[in-house]
This record gives sequence, structure tokens and C-alpha cells, in this order.
Amino acid sequence: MKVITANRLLDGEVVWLGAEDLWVDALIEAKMFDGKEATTAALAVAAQAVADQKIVGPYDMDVTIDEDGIVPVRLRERIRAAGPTTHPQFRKQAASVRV
Amino acid sequence: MYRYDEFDHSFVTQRTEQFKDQVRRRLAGELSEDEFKPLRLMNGLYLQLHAYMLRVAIPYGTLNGRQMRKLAHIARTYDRGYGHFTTRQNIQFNWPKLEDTPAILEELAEVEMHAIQTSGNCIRNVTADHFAGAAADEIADPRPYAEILRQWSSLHPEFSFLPRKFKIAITGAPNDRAAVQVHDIGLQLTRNEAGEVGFEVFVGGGLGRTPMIGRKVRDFLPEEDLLAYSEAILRVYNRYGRRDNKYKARIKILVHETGLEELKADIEAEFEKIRHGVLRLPDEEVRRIEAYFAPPPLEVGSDLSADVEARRETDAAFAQFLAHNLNPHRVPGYTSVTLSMKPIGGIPGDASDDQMDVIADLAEQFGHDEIRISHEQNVILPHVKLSDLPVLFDKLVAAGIAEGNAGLITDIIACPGMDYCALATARSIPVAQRISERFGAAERQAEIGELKIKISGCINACGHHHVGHIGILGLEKKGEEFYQITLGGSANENASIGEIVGRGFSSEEVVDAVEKLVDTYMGLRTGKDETFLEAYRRVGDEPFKETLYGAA
Amino acid sequence: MTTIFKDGMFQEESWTRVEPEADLPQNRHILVPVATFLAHANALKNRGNFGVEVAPPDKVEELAAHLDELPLISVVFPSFADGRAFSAARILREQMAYKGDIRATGSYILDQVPLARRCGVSSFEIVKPEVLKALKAGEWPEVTKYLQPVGTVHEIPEGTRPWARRSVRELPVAAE
Ligand code: HEM
Ligand code: SF4
Repeated sequence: MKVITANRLLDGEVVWLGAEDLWVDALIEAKMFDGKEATTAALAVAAQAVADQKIVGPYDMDVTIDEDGIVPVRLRERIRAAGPTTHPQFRKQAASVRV
Repeated sequence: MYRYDEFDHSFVTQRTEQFKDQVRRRLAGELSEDEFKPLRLMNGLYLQLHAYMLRVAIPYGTLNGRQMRKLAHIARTYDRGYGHFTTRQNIQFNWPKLEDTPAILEELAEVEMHAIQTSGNCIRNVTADHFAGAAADEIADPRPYAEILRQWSSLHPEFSFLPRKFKIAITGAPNDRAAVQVHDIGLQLTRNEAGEVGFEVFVGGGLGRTPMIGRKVRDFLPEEDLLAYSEAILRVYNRYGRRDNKYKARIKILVHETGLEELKADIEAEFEKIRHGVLRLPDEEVRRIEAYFAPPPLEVGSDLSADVEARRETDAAFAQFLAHNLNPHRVPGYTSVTLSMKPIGGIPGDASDDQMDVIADLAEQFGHDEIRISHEQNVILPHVKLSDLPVLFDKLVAAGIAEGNAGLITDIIACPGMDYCALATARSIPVAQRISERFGAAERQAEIGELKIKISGCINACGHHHVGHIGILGLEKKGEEFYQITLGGSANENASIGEIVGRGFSSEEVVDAVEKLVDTYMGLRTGKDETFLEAYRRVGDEPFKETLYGAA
Repeated sequence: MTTIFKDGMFQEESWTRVEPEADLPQNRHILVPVATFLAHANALKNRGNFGVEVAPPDKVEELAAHLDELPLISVVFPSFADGRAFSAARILREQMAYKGDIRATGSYILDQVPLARRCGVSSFEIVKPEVLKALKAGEWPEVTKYLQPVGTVHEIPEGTRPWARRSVRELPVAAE
């Protein structure tokens, strides 16, 4: 399974593509894509968001599901989703704002 | 320190305006990200793992209280309350908003600071010995030359699109504290037989994927030739440095592939063509710039007084601080004090907004308003009266920057690693924190003595692991963090690149591995005055291999 | 046709690039590689209507013996990240005293135009529409205070620093 992630242009915040093509800033709200076709279509949505000055640097990443919700496969993406492991006070789930 | 005149103010203000306009064009959709990226990078604005990151230059590591307070203000107002001092005498802010960056740069310009050339394939912030202008062993203050180089390299029309980044470091003392031999150009101030000041010149040092120690191209470069000779090196590099492979694009590869003698001949030939030209430094002008760096008026004082000595007897933390965090000053009665940005278990190089404010206050109160940032990610007050040490120490304790560990095993250099960096293959900071906790006991650290651990989160080597006495490189193996250890590196005047000791260690194992290395050293050293590095150089890596991997 | 920017003016010119080893076309303005020029220097000089294109890693020094008979030398930016053309132009102007037209060609970006001008480039072949648009709008994105003296563009020395200059373009009331 894949989700699409990027940074919001204005403030640089990490975001994921969620329902209704909104960019959400909690991984738990991200929409999951199964298969190549769905991922390609989602990346096209992302490309449009880049063109619309909403986000920068979109890419897809692998995730799995467990009882906690969506879990990125790579450590890098887990840290990116949660915030620096060294600064628990900046953990990402603290605020939930949509683009 | 150097003060901007109207010309410099106008220069930085215009550059800020230019960037402001670029941000405006980006937000208005006139510039795409692809077009904007090189422009923002030229102003030190990265997009990192979590957010934008702004890298601000602290030229040759020198700043004053007002500037430090401004950094605190930026951390508080536009960021999340802290900044990270780097090995290149820069400070990084990890959470700025793109829309705020023009305002940040305007605020910086108010105090004569900027982010020009903190990234990109250009000549980067020129770094210098952090004890410059104060150290007892200094031949001459390197900062006037660093300032001249900084000016000449700023927005250079010919050298802003080099094959790769280009780093210059300069030291004024025979004890090299600026790691000049691992820079693209390393300058070591020296005197010739006539007593004139000049430079020993090294070219082609660098870390990264292919670490190399710089090669000497000049035993003595006269002062007046500094710019002409630098321009000659840069022109040869700009023309002949490789551009087909970014991992082979640094000048070190050109030195390596062309051969030292041939490259030296190229540089000298180029230098001959321009040495009598407009870049020749007139003596009056060097002296004029030097005057900016004149030491503050310091009255010769006396040695540690009886009551300071008395406190040393009874206060172990204070004694530890005195033993490790002072560097001999050239004026009797004074010392250069290292404020440790390495609290036990803390994040190397991070300073909170409040800490920065405290440092500014203390510099004004006790340090003639001078502050230095070291490439070892600490802060220095270069001119402190010995008699002020007890009061100063108490205030440092209150601010959490009084650890007496400068040069010891917990004075670890670490890059941001995977907690912040988009290029990382593993985390560095948590490893530094765990090592720091393991060895944090004051007596244990002191007993071990000088030992430099340096940690990078990927092969780019921002944490200088190649030149750590113990170097740790974080890699990724099958999705897990995994750490490779090198031994015997050094960045001083006897620079060397560390050797990989053997297969790497998991995150759980790596701190134990370091401990085994340290215990082995303790067991085989000839005495307390044989440091880890000296012992390693004497016995080689066998005993260390054996302790880690068992007998071969 | 491509647009050439020179001395503040825009003009349309047509230049044919001759591949290495190819025959020289008649009746056209041609740009030839350095090697081609050196192989046919006399023929080309007799023919006229040509310029020499210096593409990295060509060395401008190879043209030393011919400079007086070369009205146009172009210096190529294979990509904006490749800054060798800056050195080529400066060497031509400052070390070889070339007096003819030095033309920037290739993939340079707008922000490089003022830098190239300072290095001695005197005309620009413009292939990027955004560069053309910006130059037509009068944009010249640069800091008008310089910290490096260059040899051939007229600039005004400032203060006591021998390396400090300001631009003649600088208005007395520049945004300061
Ligand atoms: C977080 C964002 C950073 C990025 C994206 C980054 C990127 C890089 C890259 C790509 C290199 C390799 C250059 C080459 O070999 O050509 C490098 C080298 C280096 N960086 Fe960083 N870096 C970052 C942060 C830092 C920090 C925080 C420091 C200081 C602690 C630093 C100091 C250095 C040093 C000293 C080198 C080695 C220079 C050499 O190769 O000679 N960098 N960096
Ligand atoms: S060494 Fe690697 S992980 Fe560390 S800061 Fe540099 S690029 Fe990032």
C-alpha cells in the first residue's frame, strides 16, 4: 500500500494526500492507494497541487496497516511522520490542520 | 570585530531584497520549484525532512552579544525556540516558514548577518580557529584574512557555479584548531625568516564519500598574494574540476587525478598571470581591516586567586570545568572559556533561545562582547578574566551550559542525521546522546582524557566522522540503522583519516562497542598522558579489532 | 532566428551551428567548434560570416593566435550549473585582451546574465523565454555593489578597498 507525501509550500510542513484531494498533516488521515494505477493517478493529483503552488516535492511511499493505524515501512518515513525522535515536544500529531 | 560600512550594508540589503523578490515570485507562481530551488539554496534555504531549514553564516565563527540576541529572537519568533550550531560555524534553524524567510533575512541584516553562500556550489562561509585573536600560541589573528576572503568570495561573478561546493579554512596558530587540512583550501599562518606573515597553503582536503587530507602547494605565500593566489586556485578548479559526476567534483579529486605537481604548476602559471594585478593586497588595506579585529583593552592580570583555588578544591564540577574548558590566553590574567553545548545526554550543538540570550548577556558582562562558535559545535567567550570565572561558572550552571567536558569523550560532534536530514541513512543525535550518558560521569570522562568522537548520519560526513579519534558513520542495512566505526582519525596539524575497524554494529550494539574500545585503550595506554589517538597510533588496530570481534 | 541581446538592444539573428567534421555551408552565418576553426582557419577567415563556439572543455587559449581576426566568440553554458563559460570570458578579456564580441549561449538562467556581463560577455543568445521576457521588462537581477574587481567592464571603485566596486548602473537613489 502507498500514500503520497509532500511538503506544504508556504510553511514547509509535512503533509499527505487525504480524502477529497486535501493535503492533511497527520498520517492517520492519509488516503491509501493500492496498485500502480491508483498510485499513478494520485501522483497526478499531487503534480497538479505542485502546479497550483500548494505543495512541493511529492513522492509516494510504502505503508502497512496495524492496530495503530498507518505505519510507514521505512524508518525515514516513520520519523518524518512523527517528528524528530530527539524532540518529543515537536511530535507531529499535536496539531491537525488541513491545507 | 569587522563592522559593515555603508557599502556592506547596501550589499546585504540589496541581496535580501533580491531574495525577497524571488520568494514573492515563487509564491505568486512566477517561479516553479525547479527554478526557485537553486535560488533559495544560494541563500541557505533548504527543504529538509520535516520542513524548510535556514542556514545562517557566522563568518569565521565570530559574533557579538547583539548578534547572538538576534539569533535568539529569530529562534523564538520564527522557529521553535532553538537553533543548531554546525561544524562549519553556521547556525541552522530547523522550522522556518518560507513566507517568513525574507523577514528573517531582514532582521539578520540589521545586525550585519546573512545567509549568503551557506549552500550551493560556491565558496562557502570561511571558517577559522575559534580562539583566534586570543590564543597564546597564535602567530597572527586569522580573521582579518578570513574577512578579506569572505568579501572577495561573496557573489563572485566567476565562481558562483563551481563544479561543487568549496570550503576555505584558516588558522593562525601552529596547533590547528580549524581542521584546515580537510578543507578545499587550508591556510596556516606562518612567518618566514624575515619575520613576515604569510600562509602555508593546502589544497584538496575534504571529507564526504572520498576523504582526503589536503596537499601542501605552498610553504610560504606572502600576505599580499592571498587573493590572487586564491583566485588562481579557483580558476583552475572552475575550469578543470570534474562536472560529470557530483561525487567526483570536489577539488580533492582534481588534485588526485591530475597529480599534485602538475596541478601546482597550473596554479602557479595562473597565479603568474594575475599576481601583479588588482588583487594584490596593499599593506595599508590589510592593516585597516586588521584594526577592526584589534583585541579589546585587556589589563594584564594575575593568576587564579586564592579563593578561586579554594573553590576548585571543594567544588568538583568547577574543578572539572577549569581543567578542561579553558584555553591559554596571550594576556596573563585572561582565558578563553568554552561553553559546552554538549550537556550530558543532550543534543550536540543545539542552543535554546534563552540560552542564546544568556550567552549574549554573559559575553557583554564578562567577555568584552565577543563570542565565537567552534567547529566542534561549542560556544566560546574568548576574553574572560580569570577572577571572573567563579561568577561566570555559576551563571553557566544555571543556563545548563557548564559541563566541564571540552575535548573529552562526551564533547561529541554529531550531524543532524535522520532526525532532520533528508539525505540521512541513520540517526546520529540519539547515538551521541546514549554515548554521552554512558560516559557522563565526571571522573570517568576525566580519567579517559582527550577523545574525540564524531558521528555522521550518512556518507556525506557532515559530522566529520573520518577525522574522529573514534568515528561513527550511520548507514542503513535491510531497513535498519547500522553503524560503522573508524579509528585513528584526526583533524589537527597531524591530520589523518580514520580506518574502518571492521563490520558495523546495530543501534543497540554501537554504544557497547564504543565502550569496549575505550576500555581496551584504558588497559593498554602507557599512562594517563598517552591519549587514545596516541595509543592507537602506537599499537595499531589489532587490540581494538580483537576486543570487538574476538581473536582473528 | 534567435533573439540576441546586445548593448541594451534586442535583435533577431540567424546562426547555423556547424557540427564537427561537417562541410561549411555557403551564404550563411555559421558558428563553428574550436577544432573545426583550427583545422580550417584560413578558409574561414577568407569566407567571413563566422563565429567560433567555445564549448567546455575547449580552451580559449587555443584561439590566441587568431583573436584579431575573430569578430565573434561564443562561450557555451551546457547547463546553468556549469560555470566554465564565466572563466572562458574573463580569460579572453583580461588575459588575452580580446576585443571582439563574446556571446553567451546555452542554458544560462536570468540571474547569471549580470554575472556573465561582468566577466566580459558582451552579447546573449537567448533561448529561454523567461529570460527574454525578463530582459525585455528591464530586469537586471544583481547586487550593484561588487566585491571583486573585474578587468573589462567599466565599474566605479569605492572606498579604500581595492576590490570594492559599484556599478555604473546604480542609480543615485538605489534601494538602500
Ligand atoms: C541538514 C542538512 C544538510 C545537508 C542536506 C547536507 C549536505 C551535505 C552534502 C551533500 C555533503 C557532501 C558534499 C560533498 O562531498 O561534495 C556535505 C558535507 C559536509 N557538510 Fe553537510 N549537510 C547538511 C547539514 C550539515 C551540518 C548540520 C553540518 C555541520 C554540523 C554540515 C557540515 C558539513 C561538512 C563539514 C561536510 C564535509 C565537507 C567535506 O566534504 O569536505 N552539514 N553536506
Ligand atoms: S552527514 Fe548526511 S545525514 Fe548528516 S547532515 Fe550530512 S547529509 Fe545529513
